[in-house]
Amino acid sequence: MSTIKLALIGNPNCGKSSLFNFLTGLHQKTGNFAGVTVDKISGNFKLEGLEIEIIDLPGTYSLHPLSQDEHVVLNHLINSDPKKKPDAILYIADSTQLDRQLLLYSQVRDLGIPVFLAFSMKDYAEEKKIILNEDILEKELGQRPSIYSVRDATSLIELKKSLSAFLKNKTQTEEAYQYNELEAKLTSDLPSDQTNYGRLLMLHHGEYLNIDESIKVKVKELKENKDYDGIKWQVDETLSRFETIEKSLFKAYQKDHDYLTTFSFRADRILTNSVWGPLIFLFVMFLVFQAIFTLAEWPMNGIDQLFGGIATGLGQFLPDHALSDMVTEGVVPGIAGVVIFIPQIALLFFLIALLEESGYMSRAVFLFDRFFQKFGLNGRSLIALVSASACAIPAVMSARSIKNEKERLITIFVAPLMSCSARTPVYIVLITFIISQEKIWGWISLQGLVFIGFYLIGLAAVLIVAWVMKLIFKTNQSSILMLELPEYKWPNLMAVVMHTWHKVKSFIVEAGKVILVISMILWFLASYGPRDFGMASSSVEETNIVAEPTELEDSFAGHLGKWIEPVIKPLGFDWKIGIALITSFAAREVFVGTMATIYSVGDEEDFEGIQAQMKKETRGDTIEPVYTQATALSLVVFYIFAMQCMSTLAVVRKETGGWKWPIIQFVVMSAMAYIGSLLIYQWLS
Amino acid sequence: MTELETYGNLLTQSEGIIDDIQDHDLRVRLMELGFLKGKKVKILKRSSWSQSVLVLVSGQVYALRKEEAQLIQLSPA
Repeated sequence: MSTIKLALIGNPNCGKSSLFNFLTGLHQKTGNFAGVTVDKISGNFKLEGLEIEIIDLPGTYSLHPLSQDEHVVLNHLINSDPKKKPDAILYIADSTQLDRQLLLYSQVRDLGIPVFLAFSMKDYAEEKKIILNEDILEKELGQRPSIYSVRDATSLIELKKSLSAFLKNKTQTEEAYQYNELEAKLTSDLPSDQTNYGRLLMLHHGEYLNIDESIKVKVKELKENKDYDGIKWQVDETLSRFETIEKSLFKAYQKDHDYLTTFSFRADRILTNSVWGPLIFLFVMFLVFQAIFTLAEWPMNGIDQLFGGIATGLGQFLPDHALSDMVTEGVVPGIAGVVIFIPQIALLFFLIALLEESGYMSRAVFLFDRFFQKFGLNGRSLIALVSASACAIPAVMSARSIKNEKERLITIFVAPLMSCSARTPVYIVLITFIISQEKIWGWISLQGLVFIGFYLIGLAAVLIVAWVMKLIFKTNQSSILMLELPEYKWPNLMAVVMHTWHKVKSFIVEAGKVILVISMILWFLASYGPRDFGMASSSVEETNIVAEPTELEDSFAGHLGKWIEPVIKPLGFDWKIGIALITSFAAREVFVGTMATIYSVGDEEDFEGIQAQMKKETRGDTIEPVYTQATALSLVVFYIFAMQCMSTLAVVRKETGGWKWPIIQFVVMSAMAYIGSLLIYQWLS
Repeated sequence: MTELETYGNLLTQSEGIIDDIQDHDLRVRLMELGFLKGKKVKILKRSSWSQSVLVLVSGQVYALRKEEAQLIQLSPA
């Protein structure tokens, strides 16, 4: 028997994903819908001998789409490829919101695909004393809904039973929508393999669908007809559907719980308060970051040691060969560079998913929407910018939830300017050269204050660049908020864990590929020089090469460093810093390791050793120290602004669908870094 | 002007009965969210600096921007 393709459809916040997790367990796949950056999550499960492939479509309010992920839903149901069309639909509606959530159900029923109907949140409906008469509903809708709660095992077993019975018969419902004459006339030439309603949707939204070009041309022609009145027809359709739903629910469904007595209402009086709301949000974020940095520390140390051990072990085991060196000094540290961030990223995603699932995040989006709008961003950019202060990669990925293309692009563009955790070690090494360890009034650390200052410079850069981009870019696409604030709920742990896992996996795959290649190239540049290929003068004795402490100086990286020295000299940098800048383009944290190599400090983690060596460093043959306050500040400013992260560029490329944006981002941020450093250094020295 | 037209929209009033939604690209979506003629609406929160509102309709709360709330015409409750 062939696999049944089942599409999971419902409104946002209807509890779709929890049911999806229950049905598929760990057998899930993530990917992308073709051509758009919308997560495609699918999975397989068996049901009484049936093989089922289920796809979790994005939550949508109706089949009249406004955003990219809503287009995806329509496209999945109406396209020219019969292989992609689902065999059946599993429709989920929240039991507490039937009066609104049956609208989409009434639309998908008219597409000629068998629909199984399930109502979620049985427990909440009972709590709210909602009356739901299944018998009357069955008569009215022509099918019996399966009512369940993910917290109630019996109801889930029942749901599975009725689902398998349904999939064995797949009874199709009759199309119910009544057209007006003009609708019938204008759609009569559209493909006959669609239902009447399917053809009407083609007429309304054909330009976004994956259908034959010839049909698109036809649709465009039809829309120019003076009789076509898209908005009015959609308004009439929506009204007529709601009327039918109201009639069906009249005797079967009663809810009269008063929202003004709910916990959510009372909580929101404080949490969305103009003064307390933002303060509480900042405090919550403070807790999130405390948790990330303290909890992630020990697994990160463990990973560090593990990979150190692997490199040493492999070094002893592998034959003495250049390829072995590439593995132990290039590939292994490269993989380690990705894996080391997994604890932080996983924790961040976990905590953000908790906040989202609980319903709190949508309150924060509401609170900050106006503020971000002034800078061409969106309330939802908040989540991206919060993520970016740990790592820009998840931040760029989280911008997917922003519907407006311009706002999404600006968010992606500015997110890497937030000071991420990879900048922290750089700041730590350099801060002693900038300010003394004094304390004001005996307890406020000056260095701590300056440290916060670095982060604020990053935040200021985010807002300024976003604002400039807002002025440059024009768009016709309207920016909307229209955000549903669900009632506060205990997060479903399984859903949160699965969400975190999908994100972490996509980080490993996306960032991993690039970091691996780049780290191998950098290893090559730092380990080999022109001399190894007979390109340099042979005056240096061969036997000395290995023993020479400044091996790096003769490598390609060293030559590159010297080559760019004239360019970076006005910033106060010498060729050694040049090497660090070049190697840092893979990832910023490489700076510390490179410094350790350049100044031949044994242990990479030994900040004090590196700092002591850096203090001794003088400029050329003079006694003038290299690391003055001016140089160090200039270097910090460079690291605040520069786009030194190959993985972020790779993710930006993927999310924007081309090299255009990562290249612009790279150029703009490098220019900001250069000019910023130049101004600071010239002013201070 | 009739009494209904002068009563105002969701931005100027803090509660009322939905009379109509202005002709706009977002009209269909607002209806889909439950902003239907005859439904009671109530502003739960009007934030002065965010210029957005929290609106209750049919037991569901939405955050709407100023421009979105303005589209919803009300008559007295």
